[in-house]
Amino acid sequence: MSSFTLSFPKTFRAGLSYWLSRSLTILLSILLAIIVGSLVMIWYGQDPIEIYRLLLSNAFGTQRGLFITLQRATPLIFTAISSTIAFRTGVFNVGVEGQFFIGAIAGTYVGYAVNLPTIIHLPLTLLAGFLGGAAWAYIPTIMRQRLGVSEIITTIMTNYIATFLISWLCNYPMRATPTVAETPFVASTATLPQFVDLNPLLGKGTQAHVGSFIALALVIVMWFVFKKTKIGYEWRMVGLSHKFSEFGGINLNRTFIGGMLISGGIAGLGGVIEILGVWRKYKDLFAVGFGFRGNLASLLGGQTVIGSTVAALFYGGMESGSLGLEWAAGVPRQLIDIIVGLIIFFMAAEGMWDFVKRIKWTRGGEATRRTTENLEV
Amino acid sequence: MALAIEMIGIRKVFPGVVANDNVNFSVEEGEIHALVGENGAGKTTLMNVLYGLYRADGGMIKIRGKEVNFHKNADAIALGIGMVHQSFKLVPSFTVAENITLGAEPRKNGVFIDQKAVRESVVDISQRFGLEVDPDAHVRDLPVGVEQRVEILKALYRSADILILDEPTAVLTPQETDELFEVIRSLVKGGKTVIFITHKFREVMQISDRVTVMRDGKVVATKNTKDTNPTELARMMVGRDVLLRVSKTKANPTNVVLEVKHLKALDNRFLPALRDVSLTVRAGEVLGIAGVEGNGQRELVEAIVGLREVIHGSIELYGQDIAHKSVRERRDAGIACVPEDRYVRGVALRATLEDNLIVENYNRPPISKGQVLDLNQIKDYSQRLIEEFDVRTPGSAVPAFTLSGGNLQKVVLAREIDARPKLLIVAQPTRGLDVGSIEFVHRTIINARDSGAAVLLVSAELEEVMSLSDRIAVLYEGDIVGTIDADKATEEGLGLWMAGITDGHQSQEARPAVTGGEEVSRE
Amino acid sequence: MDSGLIDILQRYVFNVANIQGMLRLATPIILAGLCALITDRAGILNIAGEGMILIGAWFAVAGSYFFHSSFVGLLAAMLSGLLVGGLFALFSLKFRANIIVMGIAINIFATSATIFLTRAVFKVAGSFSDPSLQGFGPIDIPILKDIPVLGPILSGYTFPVYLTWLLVVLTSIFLYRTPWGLHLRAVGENPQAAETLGINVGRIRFLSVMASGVFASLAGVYLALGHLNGFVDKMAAGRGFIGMAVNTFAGGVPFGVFLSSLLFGLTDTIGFRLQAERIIPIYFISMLPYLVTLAALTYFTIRRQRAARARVEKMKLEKAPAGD
Repeated sequence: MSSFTLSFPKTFRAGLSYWLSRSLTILLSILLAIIVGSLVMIWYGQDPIEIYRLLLSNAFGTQRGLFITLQRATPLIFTAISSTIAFRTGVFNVGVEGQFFIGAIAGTYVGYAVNLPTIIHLPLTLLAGFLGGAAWAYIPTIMRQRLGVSEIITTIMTNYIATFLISWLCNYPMRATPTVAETPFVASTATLPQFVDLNPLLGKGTQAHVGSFIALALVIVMWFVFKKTKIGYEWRMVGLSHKFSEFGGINLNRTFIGGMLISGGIAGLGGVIEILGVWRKYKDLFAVGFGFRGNLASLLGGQTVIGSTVAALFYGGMESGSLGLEWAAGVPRQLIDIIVGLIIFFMAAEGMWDFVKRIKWTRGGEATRRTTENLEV
Repeated sequence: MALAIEMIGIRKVFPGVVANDNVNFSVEEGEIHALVGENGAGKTTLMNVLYGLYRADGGMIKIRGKEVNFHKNADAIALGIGMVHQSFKLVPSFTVAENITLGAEPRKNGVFIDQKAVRESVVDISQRFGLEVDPDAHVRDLPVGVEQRVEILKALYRSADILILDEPTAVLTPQETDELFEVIRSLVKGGKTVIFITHKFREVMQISDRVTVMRDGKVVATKNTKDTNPTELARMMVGRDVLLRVSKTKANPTNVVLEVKHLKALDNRFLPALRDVSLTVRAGEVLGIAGVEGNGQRELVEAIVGLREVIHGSIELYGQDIAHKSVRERRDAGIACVPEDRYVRGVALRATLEDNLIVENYNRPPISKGQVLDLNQIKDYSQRLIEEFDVRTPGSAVPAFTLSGGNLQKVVLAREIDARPKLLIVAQPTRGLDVGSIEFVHRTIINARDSGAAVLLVSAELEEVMSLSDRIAVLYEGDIVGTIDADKATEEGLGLWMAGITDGHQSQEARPAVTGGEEVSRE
Repeated sequence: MDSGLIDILQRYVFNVANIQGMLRLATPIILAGLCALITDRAGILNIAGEGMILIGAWFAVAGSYFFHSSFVGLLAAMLSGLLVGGLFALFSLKFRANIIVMGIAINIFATSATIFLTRAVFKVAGSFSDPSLQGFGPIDIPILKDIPVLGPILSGYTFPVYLTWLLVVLTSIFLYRTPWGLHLRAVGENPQAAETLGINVGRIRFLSVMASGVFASLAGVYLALGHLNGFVDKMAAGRGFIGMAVNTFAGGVPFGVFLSSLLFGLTDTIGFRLQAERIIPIYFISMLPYLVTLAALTYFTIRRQRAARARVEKMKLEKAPAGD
């Protein structure tokens, strides 16, 4: 700050205008989604202002709401950061969904099948979740790295394979009761305590659990990894430019495989933590959508660690708020899902907001360019 | 004679670059008009404007005296303009006939393709112009020369009578080039007009009626070919009589740093790009590799750096074979490289300067300790390099794409030279740079030599090779045709080598000049 | 066990009822496969099929319910397909939204939106069915229906089934016999080539996404009016993704999509029976399409790589040429 040289304002201005236009884009997307959502609410016979007020107060206004927000956001933080790692290494990991399931089931198994003191059992269970997710990411990773097959197709396939595999596990070998397709409860030595267990007044009536602290630790660690470690540098560079990284001597295969496996592992860790903190057993099909919403949260957050976390919290807040709405006002919680969906549509549609960028850069005569370069999808 | 094309005051701006600046260009009916200039001079941009792929930001185009306004390139095609791009635009799984008629297929009942008519019209047109092709062959199975013929037929099928050929000979063998010239001549006899983009003077003199020279987005001059000569063209193209001679002392070569023996490698199409290359570079000297682009230069650099598989032969650095080591191992062994594709390999455009500068040494102290990067060190280090190499930038944390080409090249040089390499490879180091930057780059290369590095310089600019090198080797079709001391080399002699003619006077002198006791052996 | 398996196959697979079941259950898969195919051949990775099927199914039910006509339902669904496809294309092609992100968002959005609409419009949760809902009745084809074996196999299906068969043929003719099909394939394989020939790449891609919306909505029509007669939350049940698997497996060829859908339709029909007989749990049979597709992708890619590798080996063996 001290050196206010000639060059300083230039970068400052460039950075400022970037952040201004980005914030404005986000703001306008939310605004547009709110407007469209309001129209739907009016059609549905509700007062939009009242609904939005309830939504926010339910999500963030009460202690209970906040704890539900936290509980809902925790798995999404894992899946969003998992997606972010993959994105940053230049991969679209649509398989976070399946990796989350597999991590959860692997952890559940270790959670109920072995008998150990907490100090060993809990870490072992978490490790099983991580390894399960990583193992599930291994198949598409190796198919892309060795065969060059698009990870998008293969991860979609492996998601469904995971779904059916787990349905079988829950129905046959791991089934605990004849009536419901679910596994036995994990042993108390492997569970993550809920806040109410620690103090009956903390998060009363919610299932918020200490797994959120693991999420917080993960956020800090991953932020540090990206910012200040060699492996993070390699991930960033490979994601920004394969050719440059290869030329600079970064081992592309190792970076890509490592990134994908850690991405899968973190998704799996999220799965097992959701089990150990909230469910305590694997109920068939309980986890549908965590991975996909993580993908979207990562995108909402600009594919950065902090941004993904904020987006996951926002997502969790919307869910918490809409649950409250459903209980309090009988408004279907899908209405809020629709609004969040609209926000994502509008935010992802960069081209809609080109005029925002033009506000800042009216000077440079923009060339209308019709080349084949912008045809790539 | 009537004008087929008149382009007046064409201006085309890309973000940050003026690609065409008030360009006037005209072509007469029935002539072969060569358009020459260095890479980045704006030739292709101008032709893309003419072909309707780009819309000009200013200026006017007249076709046969009539002003036109192209909204899309179909408009240009409709007016009889055809273009054969440098990289072919063919659909590999389609047949030749399908490719030729694509977008203008003869129809049956309005909705179906008339397969018979497709085939017949292709056969007809290929016979009419003497361009033989098998209409039923799949394009993916064709050799390059035939693919080009398909491209020309594509234009002819659309009854193009103004044909733009964008560096058509770059991918051809000499025999194929001769065949292409025959085709062009017969086309012109048949009433067509041809615009021929190239940067090879020999071809200009051989084939064209008139020639237009472009430099830095502007037209320098248009001349009748018979009134000019390669030297004049060269001068107009590079814009200076003699290249700024770099002041340097005589080289003081010591021990052998790099020894390449019988190197063989393939290009991206799996065709042999390096057939049997052997060369030696000593500490304290610059070995220049001259040659027409596309004769294996790119593959040679990539093979030494570790980006391309070595099929046969060895690459020894201080006697150690590194031919199958990773890029990182080679870098750690003392190889540094300023790559040809500055914007692709040299820098990551969206990364900050700091991130760009540390890719060489991020894995060792002082930049990192253990797994952790030292951000303060990175900042200091970057700022030192930015200062030392006079990179004009508002700061070290800005993304690379905000810098000009010359400054980016300084960033690359700074990174590679600060690694104190034993072997420095520089490929096309001044392409697209302004004069000031060129001088800086040249001086830096010589400084690296004087501080004891072995330098391998690859450049398409003959003048650059001659002024920087201590010895010069010429690469032709994947082989070194000869090596000579720079002070004995003449432009004419090197030119002969570059054309593949080895029985000139120079080669006898040249062989002994190959140092390092290597035998240039050929089975 | 082995003789038991053969017995089961005879009883449950190779009989008329099963072939009918296979053809029925294959119908939505074929349509989902065509949805994936038409975009895939234009060079677009469209993963929104799942969501578009759901929306199509909902509008089919709504149209049929309010106008007491299954054909109005069909029309409503197709319009919704055009609209959703159009919006998808607008956002991803014109507004440059990442197409995978848009796909995921549409899938999630469609689930929520249809649940919400069911509650808002039909005032029920979970599923909606009503006697006044007009489904498609079976059509008996005269003469054909009286031929033994062939008659029951080919006759007596609902309208969407026959429409689907027709669409497979039409798509094939379109792709390989018409100029627009040729253009579409050119756009998918080498967009630059297409563009330099004056083919409007953007428009073809836009239209192909819209067409995929229509195909997907027809799959929804079949599920809602030709199969279940009603709307159930999440009733697409992964068929959009099976469609992608089928198309990948078939290499983007319409008749290939048809045949591989039959294969996967067969697994659907016999799955429950095999499970009842304790031969194999249904889940492994449901997994099959995805496993087979992964295996096929691996196999074909390895084969292609081997061929390329063989070329390189040949080059290696070739000695340095002795001059020209």
